[in-house]
Amino acid sequence: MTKVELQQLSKQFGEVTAVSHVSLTAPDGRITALLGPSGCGKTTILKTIAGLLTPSSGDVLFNGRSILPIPAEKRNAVMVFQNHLLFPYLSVGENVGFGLKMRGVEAAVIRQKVEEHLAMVQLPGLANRRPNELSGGQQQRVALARALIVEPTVLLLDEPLSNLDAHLREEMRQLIRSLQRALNMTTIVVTHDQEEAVLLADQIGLMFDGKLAQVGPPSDFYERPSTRQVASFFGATNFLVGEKRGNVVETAVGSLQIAPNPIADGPVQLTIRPEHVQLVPADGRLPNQLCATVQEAIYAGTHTRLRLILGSDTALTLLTSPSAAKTVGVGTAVHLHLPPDHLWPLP
Amino acid sequence: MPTRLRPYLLLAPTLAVILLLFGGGVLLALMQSVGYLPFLGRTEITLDAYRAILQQAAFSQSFFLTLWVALASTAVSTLLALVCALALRRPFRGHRLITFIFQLNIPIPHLVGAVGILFLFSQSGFLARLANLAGLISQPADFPAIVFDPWAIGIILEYVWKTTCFTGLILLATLQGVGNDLETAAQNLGANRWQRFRYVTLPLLTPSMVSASVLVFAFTFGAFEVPLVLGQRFPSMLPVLAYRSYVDIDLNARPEAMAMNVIITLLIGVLIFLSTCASRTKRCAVNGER
Amino acid sequence: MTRIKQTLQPRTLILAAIVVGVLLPFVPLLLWSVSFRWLYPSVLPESLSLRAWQYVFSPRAEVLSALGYSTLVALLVTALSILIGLPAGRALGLYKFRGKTAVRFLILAPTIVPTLAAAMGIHVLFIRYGLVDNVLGVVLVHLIPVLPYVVLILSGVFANYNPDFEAQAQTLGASAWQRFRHVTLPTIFPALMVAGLFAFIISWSQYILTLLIGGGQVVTLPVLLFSFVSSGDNAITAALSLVFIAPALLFLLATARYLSGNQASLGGFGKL
Ligand SMILES: Nc1ncnc2c1ncn2[C@@H]1O[C@H](COP(=O)(O)OP(=O)(O)OP(=O)(O)O)[C@@H](O)[C@H]1O
Ligand SMILES: [Mg+2]
Repeated sequence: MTKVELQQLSKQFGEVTAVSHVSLTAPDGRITALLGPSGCGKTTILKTIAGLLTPSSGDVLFNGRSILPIPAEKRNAVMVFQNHLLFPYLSVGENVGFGLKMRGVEAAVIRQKVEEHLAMVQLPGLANRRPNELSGGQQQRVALARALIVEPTVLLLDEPLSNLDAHLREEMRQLIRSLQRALNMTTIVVTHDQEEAVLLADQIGLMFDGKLAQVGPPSDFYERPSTRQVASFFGATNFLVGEKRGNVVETAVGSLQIAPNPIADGPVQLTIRPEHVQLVPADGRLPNQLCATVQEAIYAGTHTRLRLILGSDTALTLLTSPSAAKTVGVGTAVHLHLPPDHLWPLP
Repeated sequence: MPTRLRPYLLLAPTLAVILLLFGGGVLLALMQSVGYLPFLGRTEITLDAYRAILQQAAFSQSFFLTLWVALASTAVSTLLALVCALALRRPFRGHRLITFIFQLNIPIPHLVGAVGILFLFSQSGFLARLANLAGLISQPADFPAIVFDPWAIGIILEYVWKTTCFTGLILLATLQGVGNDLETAAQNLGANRWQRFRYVTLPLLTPSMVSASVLVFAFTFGAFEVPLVLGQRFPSMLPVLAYRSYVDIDLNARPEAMAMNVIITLLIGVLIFLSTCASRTKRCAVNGER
Repeated sequence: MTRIKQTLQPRTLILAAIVVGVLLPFVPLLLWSVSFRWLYPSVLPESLSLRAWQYVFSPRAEVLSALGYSTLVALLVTALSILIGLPAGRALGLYKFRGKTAVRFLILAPTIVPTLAAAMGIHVLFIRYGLVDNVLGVVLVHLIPVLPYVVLILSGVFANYNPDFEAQAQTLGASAWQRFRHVTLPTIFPALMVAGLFAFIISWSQYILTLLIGGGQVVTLPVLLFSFVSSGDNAITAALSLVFIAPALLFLLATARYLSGNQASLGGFGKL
């Protein structure tokens, strides 16, 4: 039952600022994902929470208490490293029981708990194997069991899926979710993959260059991104420059209606996800109807991606079903509908 | 502990020992060589000792003998070590046993090696007796003088016997660390056996070979025990000469002993500097770098 | 045909030469140690006896006391050099820091500069501070040739060492000592054994440094052996030589498997 708070956390390595003024709350019993491109400071934050690094400034609180004075081995914030780091000279069982041994737990109790936890990660009976006799996915699960066995107050997972192939990823993701639900453990996951973060986490903190760009539930990052950078990171490609006045934005391709929102009037960029742009028959019944020319059609199996040109040089992308795309060849003129609910202004 | 200071703190004990015992020793040798011996009541700085030993014929004879022994031992043992490492590189029947035998003389003290060589190669030694049995010689004097000889063959033999295994094991470890992949790739690109050795294996081994020969050269130049057992009394190897002067009852000889130590140190330093420079420029030329 | 061809392969010849070359000097040592009379030109001793061995192990021969001194000094040097050299090896292998090249050069200098030169220089100080004629002084002076090898071997293993394993253990609750005991130690164990082997045999083999600083009071095996070499009693010299190499061989037997096939342990020598 631990709420983790980062307050104005900063970390410098000599000249390099790895983390800068990050404030974030990881709610009790939930999964929070730290998301961001390589080198943005995710691992640094995780190591700071674990106590492996001392912050240059700022604070880390567990349930409202600063834990900075507590050394890593007493924090019980267990980290699972990116490349699982199983001790090669110990058996699988000894690896899993490592934390209990450090706490001086009796051997018989350790043995029993090891079996329980190996079963929990669906590897029953492998205690006597050597780590190098396991597959990558199995090694990752052993690392997870090794962390869970000490009943951590906070579980810190650094890229838990990055060394696995697509199929194993799915399996491991479900395992993490179900175990986390069952144990109700505050968990912080680091990843650079937005899809993974969305599928895994209750809350996402997106970082660029050591700074937190946006925090919120996964849907926010699709529906209400805070900056163009955030929107782009989540796969948005359509941006229209314009001037906002109330619920209307004047753009180069005409004035567009948008849903009520808290952004101040003035210059904005409108964004709409490709899957929300609709092809419609040419009638005037819907708002925000526009004419466009198909420039390129890219078949992608489950959908077709159309690149369109509006007016002189405004580009838009939309996703449509392959069957619908058959009727619109390259060079055809089409009519588009931009639903006001899905047009989101960025400051 | 501040991370930036950490490496220095970890190094502190070793540096203290090396600086105090070794650095202090070299510095004191230098001071005594220029006549600063306060414990004998002498504090006048003078280069007399250097002048004196450079005028002695014994010193220059010792010097060339030592240089010859060190160069010959290093060259022969490095070459043999290369051959041995290549032969021991891949597994075969009895590989473990032969590798173990090859490692066997790593822990043998040089003193014992010298005794073994003495018993083996002296004019009434084991090999001389075998030669007699084979009818090659009739009396001890017919057997070539290999120990206590002017060319110091006995000393060189002992050094080669010991250091071939030392260098060989270093090369073997390097080869096993690198693996076969690069040579296989070269073979795939059409390199024949000789070309694979010349353009892949040898360049991979060169750094280890240079390091090992530097160690061997420095050791053979400065070692004492083996020449004492297997060397002629005159001219003797430099370290022996220095030690004899040091323990001479004539205290005037002490600065001379120290001067010889300083000269030995400088010579080794210069020769190693030159050889590493040479090997480095050669390596650069091979790689086309500047 | 193929059989003959196979036995005459160059590599077979090289391997045969290795075996003969390494083992040959031991043959006369073994024979002399059990010989009673062995005059030229007999290839084998004319009569055998255990006289040399009996003498070597008799109380008046000082061999047992020399064995004791040698063992005491070598074990102390080994323990002390690893205690001092382990942190240094870690620093050189694991960290980047200013002045690293200079530090490395300094630590390796004693492998290049003859230690006898430094020992003669420092002798006066040892006399002044009462470090001659006793075991402590001998142990200290042995550290000069031993320490560089220990640091070199250990820095080699730390160059391939992943400190995240220690961090992992720490977040699992391991204290500093537990991390050393359960993570660092098992990981570097092979290199530690090799470093111990080198430390032991370098100290074990020292003759002149022991003589200079021990001043005839600390009579280790090599010092004793040398007096017999000069005396010309071949049988006792041979027996004593064999006694002299026995402990080092035992140590090698225990550590041989770490010497080759393991890049980390000797790899440090390749990057001087
Ligand atoms: N010990 C260190 N010393 C110096 N710089 C460091 C250190 N650790 C991290 N950095 C720097 O801090 C920045 C953030 O590193 P961090 O490992 O936290 O990134 P990350 O987001 O985990 O990246 P990745 O996804 O590649 O693992 C990087 O620029 C990195 O180079
Ligand atoms: Mg990372």
